[in-house]
Amino acid sequence: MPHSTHDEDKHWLKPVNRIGIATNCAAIGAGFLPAVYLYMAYGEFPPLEGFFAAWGLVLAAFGAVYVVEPISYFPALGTAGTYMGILAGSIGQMRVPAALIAKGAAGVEEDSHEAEIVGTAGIAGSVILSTAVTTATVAAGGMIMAYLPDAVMRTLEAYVLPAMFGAVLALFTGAGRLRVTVATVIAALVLSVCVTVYQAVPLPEWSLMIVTIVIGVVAARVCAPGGRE
Amino acid sequence: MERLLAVANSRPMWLACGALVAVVLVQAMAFLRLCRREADRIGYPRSAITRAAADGAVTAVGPALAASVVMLTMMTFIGGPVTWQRFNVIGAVQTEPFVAQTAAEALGLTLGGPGYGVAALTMCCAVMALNTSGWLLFTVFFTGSMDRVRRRIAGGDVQKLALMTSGAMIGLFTYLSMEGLTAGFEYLAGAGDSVGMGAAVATISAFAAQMVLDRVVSARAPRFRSYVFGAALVIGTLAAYCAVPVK
Repeated sequence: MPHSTHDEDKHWLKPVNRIGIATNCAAIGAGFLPAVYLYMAYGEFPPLEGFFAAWGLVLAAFGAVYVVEPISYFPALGTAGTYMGILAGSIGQMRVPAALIAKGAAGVEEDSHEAEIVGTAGIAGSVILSTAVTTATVAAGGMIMAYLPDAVMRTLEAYVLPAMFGAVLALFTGAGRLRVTVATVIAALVLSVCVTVYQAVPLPEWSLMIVTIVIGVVAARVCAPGGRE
Repeated sequence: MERLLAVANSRPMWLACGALVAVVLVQAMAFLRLCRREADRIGYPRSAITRAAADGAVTAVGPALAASVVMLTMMTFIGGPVTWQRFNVIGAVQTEPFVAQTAAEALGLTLGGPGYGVAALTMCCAVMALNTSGWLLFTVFFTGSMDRVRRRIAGGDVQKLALMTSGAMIGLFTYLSMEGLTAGFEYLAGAGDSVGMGAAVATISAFAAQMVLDRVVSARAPRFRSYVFGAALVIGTLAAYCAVPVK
């Protein structure tokens, strides 16, 4: 073994947590700067009841997601990837695919230390690129999009993400786990239709994410006994 | 509305919003530097880290462009700087239009409608920052212990850990694919619109393209494997457009 777990903790995990905690704390503070500036410069703020009503509604909508998302994505992102993914967002659309593609192209062994480093570099690359694209978008305003015909823009908006999710699902499915994926998709589709289309199962929509993950884990245990696949 | 956009697009607002974007960039660069340092320490080639970052960047191009379409709409309501800030952090397309709308409605206003002024924008910024803080606080307190918990659940069995991880990821991306697939089901049941069917076609054809291309390319031309994912995305999007053109 070229390195021990103790070395990994000292040289990798400790600095990862130090950077992650420091930057995410800085991000919490920086996030409030626009509101603080507007209040200090213009002195206008709506009645507090309105503020608490809005915050309450947002908390009700996303409160559970604050916990579910970091836990759910952690196996795919790793420790450094979780700090970056949760700060920069678009985890399912950009960060997980970036880590997967980087690891796949490098041919590293799943769950190895090399895989974690390569995956982290992939995520960092995706964060730098997406920051550049959003910055270019606001800087150029409508100019960039004006070059793209309307039909292309609407097609991108409607179809890129579903295609992305389908392709990533195939990446995880690989060669030997097709039965796991088919079983998970059938079970999840039945559940999703019952909950969201027919309202026949009294489950809150936010819980579908965690329930579907449990279905995936159970399907892996049942359809790939003992991890043979 | 004109005064609001003048305030929202003012220079101090660019600076106030840019601070968070800078933190996002600094964090990514700091982790990339750490990756290089760790690669040196364990004798892993540095060039592989640079290649991994480039592969990750290419993967993000399509979704980043798709998000730009929504950004342009948001810019007309809350200005460029706030949109720039919010679309570089968690939430973005999925939450920020909802949060902006909810903040306006809690004041009895509509986003960008009469009465939507600086006070409403200030509140909107505060609620968005509080919302993001929820995710960030969780990572600050719990990320460090998540790996230990995960390994404890698997009891140190590496095969079991890999199986659990792949099952959890199949479950997660099945969930993310469900929006498209359920919309397709709704259309077939006569309830949803045709774009939902297109989304289902995009999901299924990209899945099939990735499975087939990966097998073929891995066997015959493994050096092109990192292009398979991009090709599957293009095939999925084109197949959906051919099945249900977006008007």
